[in-house]
Amino acid sequence: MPQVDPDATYPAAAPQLGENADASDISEVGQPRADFVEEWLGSRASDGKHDPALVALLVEHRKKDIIAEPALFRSLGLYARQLAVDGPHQPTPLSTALVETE
Amino acid sequence: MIAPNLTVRSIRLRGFRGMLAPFEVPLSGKSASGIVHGRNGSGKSSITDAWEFLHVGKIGHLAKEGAGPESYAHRKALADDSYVEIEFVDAAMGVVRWYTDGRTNSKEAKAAKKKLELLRRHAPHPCQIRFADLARFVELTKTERHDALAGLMGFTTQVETQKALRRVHKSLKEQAEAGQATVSAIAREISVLLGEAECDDVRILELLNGVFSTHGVLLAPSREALGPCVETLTARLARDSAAVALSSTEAFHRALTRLVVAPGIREGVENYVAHLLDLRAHQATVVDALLMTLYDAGAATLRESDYREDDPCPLCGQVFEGDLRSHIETELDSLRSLKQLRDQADIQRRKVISTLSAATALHGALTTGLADSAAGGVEWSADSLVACCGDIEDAFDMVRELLQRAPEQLDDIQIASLARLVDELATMQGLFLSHHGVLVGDATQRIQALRADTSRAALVADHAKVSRVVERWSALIDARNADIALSETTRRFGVLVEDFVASSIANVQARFKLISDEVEQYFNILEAHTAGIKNPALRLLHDQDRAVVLEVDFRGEVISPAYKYLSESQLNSFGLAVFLASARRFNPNFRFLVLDDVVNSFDGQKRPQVIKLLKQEFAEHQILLLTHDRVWWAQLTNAFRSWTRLHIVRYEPLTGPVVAQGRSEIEEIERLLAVDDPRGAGGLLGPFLERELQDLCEGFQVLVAYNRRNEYTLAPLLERFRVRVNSKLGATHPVTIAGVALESDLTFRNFMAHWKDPDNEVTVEELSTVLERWKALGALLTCAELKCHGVPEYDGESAFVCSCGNLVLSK
Repeated sequence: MPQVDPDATYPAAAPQLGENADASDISEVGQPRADFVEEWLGSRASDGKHDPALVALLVEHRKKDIIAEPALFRSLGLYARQLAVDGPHQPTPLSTALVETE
Repeated sequence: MIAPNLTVRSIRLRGFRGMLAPFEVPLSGKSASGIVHGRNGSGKSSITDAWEFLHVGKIGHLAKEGAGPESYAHRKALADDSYVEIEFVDAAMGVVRWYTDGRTNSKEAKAAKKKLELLRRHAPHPCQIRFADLARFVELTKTERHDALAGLMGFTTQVETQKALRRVHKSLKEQAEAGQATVSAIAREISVLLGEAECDDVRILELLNGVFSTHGVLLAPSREALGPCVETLTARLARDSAAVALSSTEAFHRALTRLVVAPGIREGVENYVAHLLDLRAHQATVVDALLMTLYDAGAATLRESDYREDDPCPLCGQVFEGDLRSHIETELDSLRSLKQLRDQADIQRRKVISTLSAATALHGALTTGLADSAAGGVEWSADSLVACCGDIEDAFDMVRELLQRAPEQLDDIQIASLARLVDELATMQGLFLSHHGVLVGDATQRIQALRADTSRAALVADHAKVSRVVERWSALIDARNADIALSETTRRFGVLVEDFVASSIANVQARFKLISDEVEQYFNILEAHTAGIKNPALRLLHDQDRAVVLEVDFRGEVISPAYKYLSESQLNSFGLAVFLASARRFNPNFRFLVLDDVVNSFDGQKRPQVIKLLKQEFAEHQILLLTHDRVWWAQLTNAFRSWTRLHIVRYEPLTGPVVAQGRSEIEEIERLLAVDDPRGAGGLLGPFLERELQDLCEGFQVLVAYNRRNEYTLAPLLERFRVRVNSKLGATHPVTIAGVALESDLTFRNFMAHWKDPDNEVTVEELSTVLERWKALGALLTCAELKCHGVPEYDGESAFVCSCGNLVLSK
């Protein structure tokens, strides 16, 4: 089993939202405002700091504006099992399978 | 894309909550706003609920009780007759009807869904606020206040997401800790097997090779190479039938020592039966038990709901005459001792269920042990013990089944069955101990005989030890790998969660900043009469996930937290200011507000400030205002004369609210005069004139002679008003002339002097004259601008000016 690299980064980078939030992030007259959580997840999908599979899991489990907690927890268990097989040095591009399996 | 015109023309409900018959709130007229008046429990809040359902898809305060859209339909409504409908001015939007069953199977429903999605995109922020939302603002912790603000400012979803992510992360951490505990437990088990205090992988291999060396088996260079070594040792053991028998016998002996009837079950059931008999002895009838459950559920429902007196009963939907909460508590009190007995019995029942669920399956464990032993060539005479284990498990199953029912649901026959099972279990346990003892003795004797050859005994013991250590070592490696993967998953997920929380906090802070000017402005309007308090602010605490404190400037000093100084009503002003500022800022494309009973904690001085705020800052908004307060209703109808008015006369349980056109005070007086009811008309006209004159005298800064009774009635008020306008505007100004005419009119003077006298008979004609004269004066003092509020006020020099500045009365 390969050792964990806590400084590991993930490929790709995208603009971020949130920590630099200002008026333009929140609303603009004449334009409908998108949901904050949705925007945030979109910005984290390929920012290189998070495993895209984890972000994809959150997207999958965020149905009807709420997180389906037990299902997400089970999927994270499956993600960990996959990680034990693949080794923790790589992103795990298996979100759909993880969600479908549970 | 051009944004649609989202002006609402009408809201309609049918078969929704307490409204079975169709109910409409039209929002027509120049302002397209409306006021609905009705007593508590008359169905007003169903309108707010309907709006929230349409806008958000659920009703927040019901969702907290676990009630989803499936419970929104009126009990007697057919699915096709249970919906909320909104009609827009925009022809392209037209009518949007949304059924409570959430159907999307028809063309019409699909179109409605699309339009609703469009509405929700253009109106992402909550449009509705209830008094309960403001009341929650008062007695809250920093975290609760943060979440209440989330509701007022429309970031509930991200707060809920934040909480959910935190909870999942916590569960992951707990699972990771459990995984680490498993690793430690297996490592300890291996150390014990090998007779060491602690040993790492190198030491385990070293000790195993020591055993192999004793028996002349080639050593293993690594864990992966252990298989052939163990196989060699196993083959050596298999060649000696006596050694195989010893190994099998020892394994069976170990299985037998683990075979124990779970302690405490029989005693627990016996204790439970005693509780049941006690409960039965104190319970007069079966109805007692049913009522106890019903009242208990009723009390819990009322405790957890926003139930207010005059609301329909949450269980049966009927309006209860009197205090329902107190009624249920009284009934429960009379059943209190019975309830205590029932609760004690139930606690005992749950204890026994818990013990039973942890009990080992005796029959399965014994038969597996026998089969394994037979495979090693060792047979046992254990039929009696096997049968006894089966009987005990059958008895446990029967107990389990009877324990599924609550104590009050068991009849006498079932209680007797439980008591019989207690006796039978005592007999069975005695038999078990007897048969078990015989078999353990037999196995012990056989082991002693087979161990006579010490080298054989050593081979069997070492083989057992090596096999077990190798198996546990493999489990240890798996547990370690799982632990590393789970810890890494937990770490990665934690980083993601922290990132989300930080972004969310930054977003909330940005929202606070965006609305801070408006919150300050609105609060200062609402609290204009409160000396020394101004400039409210919201401050997020960065050392906590979700915590906010309110700050306020009190006589030049920043007070944090503000509730040290603010009263309940002032905190409500704060909450209302936050909601209004957020709605205005975050719903720029949908200017629609539902204000449900929001002034409940505001006194007579502050309520006109709400009118001022709405007129001054929300003139471009559509507002639907709901109230149960008649005085506030009168003020509103006077202030917002162009708004649609709806008066709920009463609530009919079978159909819903019965409505009439809402009238302003003047309209109601005119109606009474038209139906020849001078007594009723006079009863309204007197207080109306008194309040109008008091407002005028305050605005015109009229000096009135003090009286100890603190009553300033019509005559002195009118006289001093006339003197004041004469002095400032001159004798020829129309207002002065109208004032003089009023004061010198004999009919008016008579009414002023005698309207409080119950024996005074005033005719319809006289009252009509009084009203018309007053309306003539009122017309001169009223500004036509919609945003204008209150009466003209003295400018400190020589004129009286209305709030918008359009009406200036001067010489």
